[in-house]
Amino acid sequence: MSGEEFTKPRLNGSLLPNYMGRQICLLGMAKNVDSSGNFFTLTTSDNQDVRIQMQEPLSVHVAGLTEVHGQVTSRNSVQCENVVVFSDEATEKFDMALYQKALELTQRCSNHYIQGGIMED
Amino acid sequence: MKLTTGVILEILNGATPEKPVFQVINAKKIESSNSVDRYRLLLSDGEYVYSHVMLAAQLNKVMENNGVPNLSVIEATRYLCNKLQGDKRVIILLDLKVLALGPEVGERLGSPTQLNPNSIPTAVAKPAVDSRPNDQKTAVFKPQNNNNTAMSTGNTMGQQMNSLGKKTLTPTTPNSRVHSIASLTPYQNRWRIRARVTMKSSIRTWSNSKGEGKLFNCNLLDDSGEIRMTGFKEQVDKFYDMLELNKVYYISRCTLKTANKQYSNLNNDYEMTMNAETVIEPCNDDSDLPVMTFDFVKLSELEQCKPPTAVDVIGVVKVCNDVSSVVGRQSQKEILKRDLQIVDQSGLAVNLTLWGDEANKFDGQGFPIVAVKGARLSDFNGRSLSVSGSSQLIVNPETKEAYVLRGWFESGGRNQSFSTYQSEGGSGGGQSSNWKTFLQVKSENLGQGEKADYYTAKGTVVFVKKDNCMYQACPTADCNKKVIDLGNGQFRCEKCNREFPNHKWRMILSCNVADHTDNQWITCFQDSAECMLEMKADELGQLRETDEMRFDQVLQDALFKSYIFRMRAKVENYNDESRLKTVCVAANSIDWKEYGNQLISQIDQLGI
Repeated sequence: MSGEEFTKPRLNGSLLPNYMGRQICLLGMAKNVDSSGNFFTLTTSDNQDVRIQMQEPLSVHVAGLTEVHGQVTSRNSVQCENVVVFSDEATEKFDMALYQKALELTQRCSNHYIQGGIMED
Repeated sequence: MKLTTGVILEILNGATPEKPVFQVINAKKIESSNSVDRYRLLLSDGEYVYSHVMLAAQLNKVMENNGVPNLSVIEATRYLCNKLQGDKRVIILLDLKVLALGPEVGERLGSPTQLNPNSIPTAVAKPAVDSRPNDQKTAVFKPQNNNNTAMSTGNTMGQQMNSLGKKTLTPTTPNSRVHSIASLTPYQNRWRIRARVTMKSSIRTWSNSKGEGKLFNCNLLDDSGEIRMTGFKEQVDKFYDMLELNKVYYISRCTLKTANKQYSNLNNDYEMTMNAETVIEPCNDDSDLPVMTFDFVKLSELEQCKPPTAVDVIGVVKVCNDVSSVVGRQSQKEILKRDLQIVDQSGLAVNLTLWGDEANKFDGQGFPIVAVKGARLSDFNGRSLSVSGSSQLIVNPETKEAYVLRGWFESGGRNQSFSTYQSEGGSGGGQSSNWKTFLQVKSENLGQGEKADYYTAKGTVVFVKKDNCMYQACPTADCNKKVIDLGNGQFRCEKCNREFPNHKWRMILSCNVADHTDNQWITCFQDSAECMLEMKADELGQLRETDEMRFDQVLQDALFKSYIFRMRAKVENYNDESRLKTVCVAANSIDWKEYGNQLISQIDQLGI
């Protein structure tokens, strides 16, 4: 069994193409929510716009800092399985640049930042 | 008898015409107690009379025998012209031939004017051979014939005009030899250098009890070496705008003196100061002069340099911090600064501070290479560098060293881990950084020095000692002395020598805090303890006496919380036993943004 199935690595927009078909986690700022609630746009920490496709229309108000768990369907779209919306206060205080730096580090030193999943030996 | 009209001026300006003919107007014996007597002459060439003329001592006998009475016409067979301090020029007659004795001549030839030794007109440096046309040599005039003398004066004037005309085409002293900077000493006064300006300071002003003024300095470079040149007041006005960085100039007549190494970092024992006589002319042909020379010191070799000193360094900017400002200790003015961390192949990372405008404008994007000529080295934090007023910063210089460095950095150097210099003994307090892990605290022997060491650490409280964590203290505002419970509702303070019906609670909390490397016992006093227990000491003291369960709970709740601790470490001696005492100066809840940035910069310094 591969750990990949259980791992949802934290990514930014430009890393999506490397994770085609995989389960991932995206944190960004939500905008342009579709009136029917079927999709919205997430601006990730590297300022990329990613289209978030919902499986069923959104039941919560999505705005500001938002985390999406789901599957990468194309280089700039994600099929959403779960949405976490943060408070306005969290949105205000969040340091997106720092998050981006942290992401860069986890990518650059991936053996130091093992993100969940099953360790196989 | 014909004098060599105008020859005095020629000689004073450096020419050496052969066998000039003068009239001795007057001779005066200068008696000297500690050396031989000398004769000083008043000499005329028909155009000028010059008083700074000495007779070589070996000719004294001639004078003593009255061999050269006043008004005699002489031919100087050997002579020389010396420049003395203050640009005074003295003609010394080494050998002479008397052409006509004074009584025969009987009067002054021509109508010479007195030449002021302090302002000698520059003119007519003609090659020696041309100085006396043949017809003059042979022409013999009756001494009494004033007209002829006048005529000959006119003739020489014509020649002067001619050579003046030529002069405008070339710099003032085109034929004189160019000296090398390395050859300059205070003991020679006739020199001219051709040098490139490699550093030009801004104009600085001073104002003190002796007065005020302004100055600037610049560094000059030729292929032999470098020298610092300083200009004050009038010279600032005269030359500051004219001198441009990286341009080449002919420079002469500055005053040389021993270099003050406190202000100059150039590799030269001397430096020069511009004076009223200084001549600076631009030189357009600069192709053969070096641009700037560096004597780069590897960052790992800074340890061997003894601060404070100046060094040339080159490195890649690994970390570029934001601009911050400090208030100058003397000026009380706000000064901008920016700290960089530079690295090189030697595996060391050193702090380099830029100031003022340079700090403001610096762009640290893309790991630029910086070369600093004359960076100020200090032993702050082991070794640190600063771009001072006499330093020259060059970003991405086009030198061999820079290319080698770039190659190294791109081919893996950036992923290398770098060590840093550590300050010996204690570092100063008040500084908010100095991040340490608890393992570092032990391995670096913090607190063992003369002074206490302050450091910052992120730690988690793993144990709180309940016993003796607080005491009853004197209620007087500034007195925290422990009071004695007199058992009658009164509390006595020995220090204030008073009894009070009440007391206040003071904390003295012993905790064990840990990070991923080690742990440390610390003592927290009132403020930091209240902060960690999230309760005021007086409230906690009440709980202790009334509800021990809740009191225990408060201490329990304090566990496993993390803080940014500011610590003061110092070894203290109790009964011949020395142990490290660590006092928590402050325990602040973690500002995750700030701490995150701190971690990023630490990781950056790891070079991974």
